[in-house]
Amino acid sequence: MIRKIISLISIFALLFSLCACAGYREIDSLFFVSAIGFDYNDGYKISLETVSAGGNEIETEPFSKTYYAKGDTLKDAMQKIYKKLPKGISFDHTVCAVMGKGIKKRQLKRVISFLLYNKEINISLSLFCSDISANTLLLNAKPVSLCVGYDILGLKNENEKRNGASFNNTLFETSDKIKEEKSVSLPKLKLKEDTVVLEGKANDKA
Amino acid sequence: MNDIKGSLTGDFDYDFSLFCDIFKNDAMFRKRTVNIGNTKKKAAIMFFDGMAETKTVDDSVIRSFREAKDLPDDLNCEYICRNILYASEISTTENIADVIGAIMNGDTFVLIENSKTAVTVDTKGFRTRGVDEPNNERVLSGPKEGFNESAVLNLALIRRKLQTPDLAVESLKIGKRSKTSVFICYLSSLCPEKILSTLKDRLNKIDIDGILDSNYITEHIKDGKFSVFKTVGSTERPDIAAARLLEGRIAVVVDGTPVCLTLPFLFCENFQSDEDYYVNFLLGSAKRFLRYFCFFLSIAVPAVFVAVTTYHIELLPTSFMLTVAKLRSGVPFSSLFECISLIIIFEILKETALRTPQSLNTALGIVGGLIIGQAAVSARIISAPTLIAVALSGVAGLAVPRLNTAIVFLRIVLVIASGLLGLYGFFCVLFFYFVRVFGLSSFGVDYTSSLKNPDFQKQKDILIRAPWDFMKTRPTFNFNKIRSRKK
Repeated sequence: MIRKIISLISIFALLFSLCACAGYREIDSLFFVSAIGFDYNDGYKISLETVSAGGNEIETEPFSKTYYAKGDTLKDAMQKIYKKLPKGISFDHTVCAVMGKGIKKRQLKRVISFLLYNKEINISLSLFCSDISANTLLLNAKPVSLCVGYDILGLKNENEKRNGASFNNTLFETSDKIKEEKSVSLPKLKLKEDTVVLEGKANDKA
Repeated sequence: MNDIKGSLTGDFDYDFSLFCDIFKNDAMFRKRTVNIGNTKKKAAIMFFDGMAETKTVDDSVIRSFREAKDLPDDLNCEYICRNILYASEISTTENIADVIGAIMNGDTFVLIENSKTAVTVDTKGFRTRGVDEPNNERVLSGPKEGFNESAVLNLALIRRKLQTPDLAVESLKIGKRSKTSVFICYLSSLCPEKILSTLKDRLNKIDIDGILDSNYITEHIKDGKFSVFKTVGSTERPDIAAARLLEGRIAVVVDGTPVCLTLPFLFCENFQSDEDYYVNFLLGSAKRFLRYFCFFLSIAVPAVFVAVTTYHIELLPTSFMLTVAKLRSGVPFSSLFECISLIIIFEILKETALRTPQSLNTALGIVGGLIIGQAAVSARIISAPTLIAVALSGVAGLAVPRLNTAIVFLRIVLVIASGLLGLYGFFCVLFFYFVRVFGLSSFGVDYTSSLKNPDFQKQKDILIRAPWDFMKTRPTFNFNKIRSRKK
């Protein structure tokens, strides 16, 4: 019996020492990224719209805030944002990514592989494009709901429901199209009087 | 005193003084000498006040001696037993140890002059509780009677339910000093001999100075001694004991405790309640299904909550995630610490409520549950979602009282594993316990045999309670006996 107990304790000690607490995060100590914006002009500019439910101070309601940074590469830009953030971020609830000004086919490939390499990012995240800078869109749009990211997802779902068809613009679907060297069309976002609007219908080429 | 050996000498004064000497330190020991009828032959009467009914001693022994007439000259023990004593149960012995045992058990010892044989008269009459409804096994409908501390009365309650000569009751004494009476009860045509002999073997091997409760026996005879799961059943209700006997199980009645043991005990029995059989089968089945669900809720809710809010946030719907995050903001402790603390507080409240006088229970509930809980949430010492998760798990656990020990241990172990390893840890521990449970047995019967069997016919009293017309056979472990319930 003592042998059994010792071997059990050893197994658990090994288990815990090898992988314990590796991904431990407290839910209230995170910024949840709702939307990611990408722009390109002699370097990548990443904008993260985050939602927070508070922190050490007692917040009454969840609030959103956009952080952005520019770097030579996507990784560089992201590192700079991390330095600006007062607490950790989570991409678990990211719902959309906006490809803004300057993101052409070549940059789009890099952005998509960057997103795919980030294991925390949900592959059913929706991709959109915009004529204006994604940073401007995320910073200047007045959210109807909690944040612009969730507004965009709401617009997409509403449009798909109305037309009974899908935009086929998730990260997974778009990366597949790129792999198969098919043409990529993303739904287009515009800013009308501080409000985000979605142009085109589901399955239309935007 | 237990080591006193030898026989009576036949010398009245010597034997009488011997017993007076043995019990000289006991103030409750009563002794009296009387003449038998109008002869000069003496008899000494000895008993313990409180253990023996004084009125029975007066009527059955003393009065019968005083009123005896036309006695022969060669008055002996056999004549006294046959013609003088009024008592219904009389035995004779020459052995001093037997006499001491009988006196201690509430019998009256009659020592007769010039006789090497003594008479013990059954005059047991200590006060016992009434046949009340047991607090731990209340039902809305069905019989309201429960066992009490008298084994004889408990056996009578069982016999009232099963009026058949097939009901066998064997007795033995366990405990070197307590000499507690233990009765093995079974229906001889239904009970498998293998289980009965295993039980007898284990009971005979018990080496202890005293048995004060049935749990002393449970711990000695149970399979999986270190398991948190019960492998010996217990009940305070004669109807449950009778139902178990009808299934071919064995009941062990221990004197001095209102809890009767039943065995073999299978995992599915944890979820069965006698009330399932006293209400409509649909309601009974729904309730049983609910108990399985409550067991899962009880062990899993706090652990899954900790795992999901600390490792797998992506599994939460966004709005729910934000609500939890908002309510947790400002709380200084980690989810894991918070959850374990709340589970311990819940157990403290349960333990306190058990030990508190009933009149204070309402106040304890208000102060402990409402005021402390509400104040702790308002002061942001704990968060409301964690409190809800632990409270839900605690309340759900009360629906399966037979698994109380297992639930408390499993809940804490699963929370710790989830806090350290997330859902991976949760499933690892759950898997480990599944392996443990599926490896258990109760008196040679597979503990989860009923759950493993895919045959629907054999599931009719496991996950659901089928109508009585459908339950034609007894449980599967009773394979070598009469299977049909109608025989």
